[in-house]
Amino acid sequence: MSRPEPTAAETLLSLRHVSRSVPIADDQLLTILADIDLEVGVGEHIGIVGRSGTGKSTLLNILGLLDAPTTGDMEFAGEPVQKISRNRAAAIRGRDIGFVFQQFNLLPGRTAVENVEAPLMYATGREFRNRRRSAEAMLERLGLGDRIEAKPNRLSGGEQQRVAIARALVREPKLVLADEPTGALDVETGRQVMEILDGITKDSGAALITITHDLGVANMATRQFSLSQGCLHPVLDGATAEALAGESR
Amino acid sequence: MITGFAASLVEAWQELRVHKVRVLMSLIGVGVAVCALTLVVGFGNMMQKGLADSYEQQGGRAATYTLSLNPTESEMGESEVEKVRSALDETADRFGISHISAYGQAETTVPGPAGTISASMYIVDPDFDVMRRLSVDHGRWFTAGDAANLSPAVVADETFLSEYGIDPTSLPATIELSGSPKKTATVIGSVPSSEFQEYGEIYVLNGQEKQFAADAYAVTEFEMWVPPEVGEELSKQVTSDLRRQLPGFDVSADRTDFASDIDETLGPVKNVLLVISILILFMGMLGLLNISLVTIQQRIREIGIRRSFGATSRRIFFSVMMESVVATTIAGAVGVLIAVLVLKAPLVAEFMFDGASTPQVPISAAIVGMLVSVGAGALAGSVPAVVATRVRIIDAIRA
Repeated sequence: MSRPEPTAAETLLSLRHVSRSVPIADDQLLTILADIDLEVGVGEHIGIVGRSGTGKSTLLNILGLLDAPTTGDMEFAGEPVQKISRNRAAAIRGRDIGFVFQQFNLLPGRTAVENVEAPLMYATGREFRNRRRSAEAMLERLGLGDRIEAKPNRLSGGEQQRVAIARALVREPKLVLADEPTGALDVETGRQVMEILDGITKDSGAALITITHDLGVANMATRQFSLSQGCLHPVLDGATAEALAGESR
Repeated sequence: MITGFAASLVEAWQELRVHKVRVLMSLIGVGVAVCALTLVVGFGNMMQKGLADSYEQQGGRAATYTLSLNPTESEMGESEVEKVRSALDETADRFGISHISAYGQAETTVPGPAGTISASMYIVDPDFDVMRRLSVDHGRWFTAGDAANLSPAVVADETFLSEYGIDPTSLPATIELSGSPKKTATVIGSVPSSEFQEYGEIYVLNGQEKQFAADAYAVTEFEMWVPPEVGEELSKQVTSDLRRQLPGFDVSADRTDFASDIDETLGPVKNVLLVISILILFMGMLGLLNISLVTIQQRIREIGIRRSFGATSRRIFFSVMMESVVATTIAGAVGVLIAVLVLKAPLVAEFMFDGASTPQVPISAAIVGMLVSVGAGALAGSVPAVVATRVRIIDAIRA
């Protein structure tokens, strides 16, 4: 089921011996992630499973340049990013990384189209000027053409997540990070949303990393990993309950 | 840079639109404060202007110096008048004094169609209308050529014309003068009447006064209008120059306009009102700041989401501050508009200026109001903006 790791030429994101620890009481360090090695190819779909508290979100924050690793090397599109400035990280994030959150995180009070055009506020030139058109086109693509002016409180959970996906993809990022994208949806809606997310990222050539504890969602990826006690392990035969528990290699 | 600014404005506008009730409530204080401040500045300036106009009509513009030129050992005869005229012309040329006029006053009577009409007569030169802000409603003011007219020219006020039965719109008109043989004068223009004048007023040119009142004395006082900043030094030099040219004359110069009295009259009132307005503004800003700080705590997740889109700390700071600036600018514009409407209200004009011509609402008041609005927004917005930049992205997204 898993395919070989991508070659250096196709690598979009690579982590080598990355760890993340935080200080706790009495000058102790709590290691959340330890010695993570991961290579993500251009357009690849990766699924990472793990129980709560295993460091999934910390890993996603590092992958999305929201947080920096304590040790190790990290490259994004060939650029070392483990120690870049916050402004540089913000620039890469805005241009090349899209986020899909479990709770959708739509901006309250804004219409669907305003939510989708929100990332384009940080663009420049034509991308900024054409933001409304781009946002409308993306919503059309996700089947929300008739819900453009609807505010989040008038949208169903599935629609809200589709708006969030449109927002993540509107700047045509190289990488989409999805944190429990179906966590707040019922099984059927979750499956539909994941199919849309998987299909649209494939169409646009963006890599997709899905962090989830839903085995079905993880198994839609081309490669799966399990995260257990801060360590990332490849799952060779598809994500299973054992993999989720960190018992399977 | 320009895109960032435009985007911040768009974001600020969206934020204000989404939270319009909260924004409205928080901005009432700012709007009232800006309105009060604009009213104070506007009232102050308008009163100052009104008072200045009134003072300038009474005592001349800043700086007006009255030159007294009295012969010490004789009366002011024709030769003395000629000497004085020639000396003044030479002095005016030498020092570049553009406005200089005789200023004498006498009582006169004129035989009107329905009986004798008493009038106050002012003996002046053609520059006098500019120096005293006299506005000619109908006809015209004197020109230098009027001195050569066989029928002397007169500018009369509305009271005199009314008593004589002349319609100001039909000027010029001929009036008969007292004395024998019969003489006439030509009324060439009309001016508004003074507020508390018992009789009508007429203005005649210096040198022609005896045709209106045989017992009128030759003018010994002359006014000159000079720039205030050099007035004192210039008056000394003029006095000295005239003394040189007019031996046997007692020459003195004194400042006689009331410009310096305006600040004394209005200064304390304006200061008190200004302090009150600043206090109101301060309270308005505190209210806005308070609400903004509470609101920013409720918007932490939104800030985190924006950071995930690529917003830098600087951009977050600017956006949050712009929300405040845009809001206070709108509130300020409304406040200024209300203030202008109040200042232009007929009732207010009646109360403030007693029905006399109302000065224009000063543009400076509107500018001050708008600048204060923007400044208040920037100040009140900077604190929540700093708080917003300190939000940790990861915590914010999970908030």
